[in-house]
Amino acid sequence: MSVAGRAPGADITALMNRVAARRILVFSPTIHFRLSPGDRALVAPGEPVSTGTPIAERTPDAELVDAGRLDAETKSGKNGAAAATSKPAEGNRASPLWREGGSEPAELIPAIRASRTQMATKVGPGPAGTARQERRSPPEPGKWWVGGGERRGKSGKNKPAPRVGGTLLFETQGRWRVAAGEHHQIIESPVAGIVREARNSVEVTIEVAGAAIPGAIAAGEPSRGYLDVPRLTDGELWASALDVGRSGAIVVAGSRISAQAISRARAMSIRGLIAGSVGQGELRDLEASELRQKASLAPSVPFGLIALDGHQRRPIATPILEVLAALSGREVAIVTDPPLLIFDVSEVPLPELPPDWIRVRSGTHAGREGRLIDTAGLYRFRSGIHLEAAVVRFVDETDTTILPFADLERFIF
Amino acid sequence: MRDSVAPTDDADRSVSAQILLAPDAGAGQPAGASLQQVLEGLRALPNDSRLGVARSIGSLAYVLDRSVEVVEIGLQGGLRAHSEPIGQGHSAVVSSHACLANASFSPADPSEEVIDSVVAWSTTVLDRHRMTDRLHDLRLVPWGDADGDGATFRLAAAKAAYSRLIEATTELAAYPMPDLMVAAGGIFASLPPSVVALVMADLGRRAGVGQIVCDQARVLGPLGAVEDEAERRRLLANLADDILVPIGCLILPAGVKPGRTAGQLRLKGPDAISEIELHPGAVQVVDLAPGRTAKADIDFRDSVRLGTRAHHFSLDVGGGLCGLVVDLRDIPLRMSDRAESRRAALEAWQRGMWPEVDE
Repeated sequence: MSVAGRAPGADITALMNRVAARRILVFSPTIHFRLSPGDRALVAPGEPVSTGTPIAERTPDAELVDAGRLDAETKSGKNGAAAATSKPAEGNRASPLWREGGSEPAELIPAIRASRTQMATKVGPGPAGTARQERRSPPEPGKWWVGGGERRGKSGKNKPAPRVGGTLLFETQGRWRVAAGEHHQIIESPVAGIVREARNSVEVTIEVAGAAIPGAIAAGEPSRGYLDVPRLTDGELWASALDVGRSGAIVVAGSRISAQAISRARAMSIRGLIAGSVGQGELRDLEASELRQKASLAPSVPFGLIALDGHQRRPIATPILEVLAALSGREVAIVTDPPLLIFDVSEVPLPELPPDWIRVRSGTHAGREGRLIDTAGLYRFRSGIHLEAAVVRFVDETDTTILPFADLERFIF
Repeated sequence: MRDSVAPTDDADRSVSAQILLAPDAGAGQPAGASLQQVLEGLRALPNDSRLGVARSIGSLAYVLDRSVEVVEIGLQGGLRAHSEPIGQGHSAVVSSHACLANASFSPADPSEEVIDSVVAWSTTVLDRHRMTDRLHDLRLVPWGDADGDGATFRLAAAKAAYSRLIEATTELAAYPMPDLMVAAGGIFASLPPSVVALVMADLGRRAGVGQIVCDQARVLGPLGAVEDEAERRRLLANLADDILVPIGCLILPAGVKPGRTAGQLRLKGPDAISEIELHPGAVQVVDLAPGRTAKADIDFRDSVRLGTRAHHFSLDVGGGLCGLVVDLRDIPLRMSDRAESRRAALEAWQRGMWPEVDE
């Protein structure tokens, strides 16, 4: 079919309103860091955080530990076991249900941070003053607990018993069970913002100060680095281009991320990859690789990847590519929940788009861009499927194509 | 049953303790319905449209005085509900239903079993990785890629979801084929009517005769949100003919023996008579326009079970966009374990009902 131009009288705004909108930028998004049993938050709600601020402490090798009896006014055990952290609010009694007393009180945070200067730490006695304060609150699920030295039969005769730390889980027959481990890892905030929620073993939520490009899929860990937008060949980046010179960068990798590119990027200490799509097979490989890394307990550089469109191959949308090109060289962060590419730039140069600019988001023409010409009404597509249709002219084409409205997207800022 | 109202806000939930006196696990009609109702009430969002469909089906069964079963396949889950009037004068309706998150046509985190089931119902050859990618993308853009290959893929995903729903609702298999089968959910709304009929015939393998309709406008859920049962019944009595698109009538006999012919069907309409020979193992369609009714006289070569066991049946059937569908395949549907043979069989049945699929 060939349509010379837009139908006379067609109102492009009304026509474009029938196309699904895709927001290129979101401002001040809220991001989440999910915590597991044994993990604790190192920040408090309302507290501002900057890039690199420790926000949580993970216990990667957490296991179920019997902490014994912990009285409400827990005294230090003879080996220093202590129930820890926050003071409950006035009149807020311990509940038999899960109720998070959770996060560290603001006055304790500097002391806690001071005791953790490395990415991976071992549990040791905390600052004497804070430990004394920590012991005074009644035990409840989610509270930080340090102990293990007094556990009998857990070590050899001449071997000091390892001390473990973690969070209280539940009480049964007067004895508390704890998710605790010997090794701990600090999670640093990849972004600046304000903590909105911080609950041990549950999550830390931060309202980001900055803007972000939403993605469809993210995997790996939250990471931060400078944005590198290399020259793409046919919308692709060859894996060989991921060399050590890009160490510390978050690289725009074109239409699809391959398993080879992911392995290579991690080996080169690249902090992250951005692409149009990533397959489930590659995500599984990455997950398995991360699990192996965690099992080895070796500290690793955080690596994240983000796919802007989905799983099936399609190029990055040109308006997004323009925004990325404008941000090239600046510090950006990948966060995984929700999938976002975050940058703390107050003013982002926005690309100028024609008002009828659309992109195909699914179907055989997925990834192609062009202009919406007109509506074609209810149209019979392949396989005898009747759908509301649009007349579209793709870039560098003179003929028009009829596509379902549901396959199209338009960009809004 | 509930001593306190469950707060909807998480913050409230953490503060106020809730005491819930649950009914006995076997209480209710059918057994367990009372406990199910309480648990669903805790899980559901206010005005949950999926539970609304189940409520609408209960009202519809009362209004039409027929047994009604709905299969709803959606993005967030699936629903299978059965309602039928009981008692003297059919003054009451007994309903049972099950909602299943895993019965979404594209579950959030599909397991290997989910992928296997989509592969098993697919008529196109796709490797598992591509199949998984497509299933995930279907979740990201549920209304996209609805024509061509995308349509056949959606059909496979819908059938796989329906099969998961059936596996999870074995108690509903004890009911005979309902008088009215409702296909609901956007994935059915975008498929041709004959294909929807084929889905209902492929998965709902119970001997009997039933009318198939589609909730094309997807209003059963919103109507179920009307709290007053009497008002909902009034609304459905007024709207039933308009909101349910007739797909056709399904005749599904059990015990058809293999051979050259299974018998003869004579369809006597107001202005025409059609006669066809019935072939074992086939799905045959006779045109009967929506709104029309006809008398179908079927003479089977051997005795079959169609409600009762007999050779000759005389049935009143209604028309639809697809027409009268006579399914002479086995109950349960027997297919080869070999992927190629299974795919070939599915493709042959599909092509018979969906000739445009190769366009």
